[in-house]
Amino acid sequence: MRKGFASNARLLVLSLGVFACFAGLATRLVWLHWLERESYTAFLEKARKQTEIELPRRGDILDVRGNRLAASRNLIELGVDPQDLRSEDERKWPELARLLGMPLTQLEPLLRRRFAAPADAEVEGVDAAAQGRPVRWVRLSEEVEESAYTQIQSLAIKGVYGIRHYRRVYPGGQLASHILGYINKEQTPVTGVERHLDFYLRGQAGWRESERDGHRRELAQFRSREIPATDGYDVVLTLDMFVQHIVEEELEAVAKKFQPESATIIVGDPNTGAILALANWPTFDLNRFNTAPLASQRNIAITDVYEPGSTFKIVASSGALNDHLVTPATVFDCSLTSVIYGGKPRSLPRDTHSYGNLSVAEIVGKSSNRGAAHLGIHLGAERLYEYARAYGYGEPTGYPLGGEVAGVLHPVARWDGLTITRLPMGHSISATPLQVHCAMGAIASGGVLMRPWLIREIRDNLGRTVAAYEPMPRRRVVSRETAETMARLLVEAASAEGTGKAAAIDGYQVAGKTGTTQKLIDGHYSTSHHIGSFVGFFPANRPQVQITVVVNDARVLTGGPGYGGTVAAPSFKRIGEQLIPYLGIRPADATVVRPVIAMTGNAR
Amino acid sequence: MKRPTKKAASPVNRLLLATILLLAFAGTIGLATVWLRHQISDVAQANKRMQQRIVEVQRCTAETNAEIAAALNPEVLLSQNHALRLGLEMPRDYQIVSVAEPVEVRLASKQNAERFTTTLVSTALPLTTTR
Repeated sequence: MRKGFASNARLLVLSLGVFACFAGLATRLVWLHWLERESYTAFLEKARKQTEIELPRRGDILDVRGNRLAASRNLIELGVDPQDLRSEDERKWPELARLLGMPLTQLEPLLRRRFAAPADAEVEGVDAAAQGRPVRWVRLSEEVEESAYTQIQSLAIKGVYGIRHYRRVYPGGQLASHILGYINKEQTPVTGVERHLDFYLRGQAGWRESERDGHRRELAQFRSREIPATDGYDVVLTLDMFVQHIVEEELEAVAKKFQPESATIIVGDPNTGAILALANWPTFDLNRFNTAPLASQRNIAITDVYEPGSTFKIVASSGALNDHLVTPATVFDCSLTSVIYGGKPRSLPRDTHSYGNLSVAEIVGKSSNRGAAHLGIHLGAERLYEYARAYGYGEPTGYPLGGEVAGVLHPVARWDGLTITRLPMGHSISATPLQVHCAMGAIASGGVLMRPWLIREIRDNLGRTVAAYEPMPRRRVVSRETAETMARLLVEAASAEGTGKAAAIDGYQVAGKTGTTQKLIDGHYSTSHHIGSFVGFFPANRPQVQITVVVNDARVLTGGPGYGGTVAAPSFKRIGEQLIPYLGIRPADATVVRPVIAMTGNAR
Repeated sequence: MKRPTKKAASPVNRLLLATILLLAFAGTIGLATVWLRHQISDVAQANKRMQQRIVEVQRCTAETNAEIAAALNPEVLLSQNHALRLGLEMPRDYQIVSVAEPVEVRLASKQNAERFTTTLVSTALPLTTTR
């Protein structure tokens, strides 16, 4: 055999070289897998797979113009790993304390807490380090803002780090508090939109499976599965922040002036059933919900019932008109104290003034109780009940956020002898302010009862519409002609001769009805505690805005009862006057001449 | 230089050459794998940084939106109006004119009103003086 280049010596050297390499490799393997096994295994344990949860950002709640009523802010929970702290960073601690707004004396013990105290009593003679386990996380602050956190990061204190989380904020404070609801400390939606649309708002958490190194840093190249978080959808409401603000300011004024037990104002578009504003007094700040009494968190507009009083008179009068039993000119003798109905004499309720013959138009305009009783009797118990049901009394309005009560409207079989004369004037029945609002809305919309429209649409975070909600008619209550006739009669009620004259707005035809109810206290109607209300809309022949004002137990300085015309109608006027320029409401009556000061003043 | 002889082509030499080539090939594969893994790691880290940046921007946007929302709160605007003495008020009803006719025509007539009026006055003056 020829050896060629590979002589024995060369082969030997080469073999030794290769052997030495393999021997070195084997030694290293033994070193790693046997001698240093423990430390490297511990290291590998740290570098095992990790699952990281990515929290979604909760969707915003917007008003109809895109203003944010509820948003999620990014805050940082700041903490420290005392094991990682370096002594050379101690000089930075005072600055850290300043940024956290915490005295250094309070911060220092937290930073120096390297070992947790044992659960049981300390064992004498054994120091804390030996007794407790090492502390790897001490919370320094629950909510550090982004700007402060950036400064803290620039300090570069090893071991101090933050965990980002979202916190719900309500930029308007108490604005629309009863509609929005809130998220509590446990991140659970409690009431309102937050709760009922939580499915859309909350989003979906994402997660990521990967590995981390010994320094607990993620090794991105070892990501095996990744499901990104899906942020929550935005909810757009029909509310208008500015209208809501006007309403809440008015409620504040009412509360200051009359010191009522409670008050509610609802503003809506009667043609669609859209709620532009809904507010109650007392109210609360959504950012400080935990300090607010539960009573102030109740949405009175849908949870509290009262006797609607004269605002209910639209039911008997429109019913009688719709059934062609009467015309606006039909006259009733309102001086009678009783009438025969069903073969029995029925006493008629008293009026505040003595009236003689009143036409249907006058009955509505002057809000005659006896006149309304006549109309009820003319209509008959069954039809009166049917109309009351058709107007939505005795059943929920379909308020989309739930929690509303149905009110009380007894079937005819449960009526006593007086109900036929008392129901037409709004007694023997109880309803929520929203029910009363919706019932009047049926007149304003041309005879159609609309469902309250509060949720306009759901949008994803790119602004695309995911779900849109449309106005929803519930049923036709009266014919369009009857509704228009009724609106004309209601204009009289809000005119200089009517009970609601304080609601009149210059240059605009206001249609509306006052209501004053004695409160039931200890089973008796009180003569000193009243619920005053006004429900109306304008312009009367082309309604664009409907406003309902209910003031519960107002204290009138003059000492008289809190009549609807005194405590509620002025609020209607003040709100209406502010809404005219904002919503661009034009007077329906074209013949009304109005000065053009601003235009002529700037004309060139 | 001495020319290689035919001895170099002996089976042992061939075996050695093959071994060296195999080692070189294996080494290249090893190096390529390491390089590839390093590249994967780099790309993954770059992706991660990019994702973090996107999240940061989104966070910043959300934060700014929340601040804007707070600044647009009517109460805040009113207090700013008061503090800065801007004197801004709600427009009054009488300052608003409802225009029923086409607005373009109205604006055009407004724009030209002065011109037409001037012409009429200039032609009217001599007539007045003659009288």
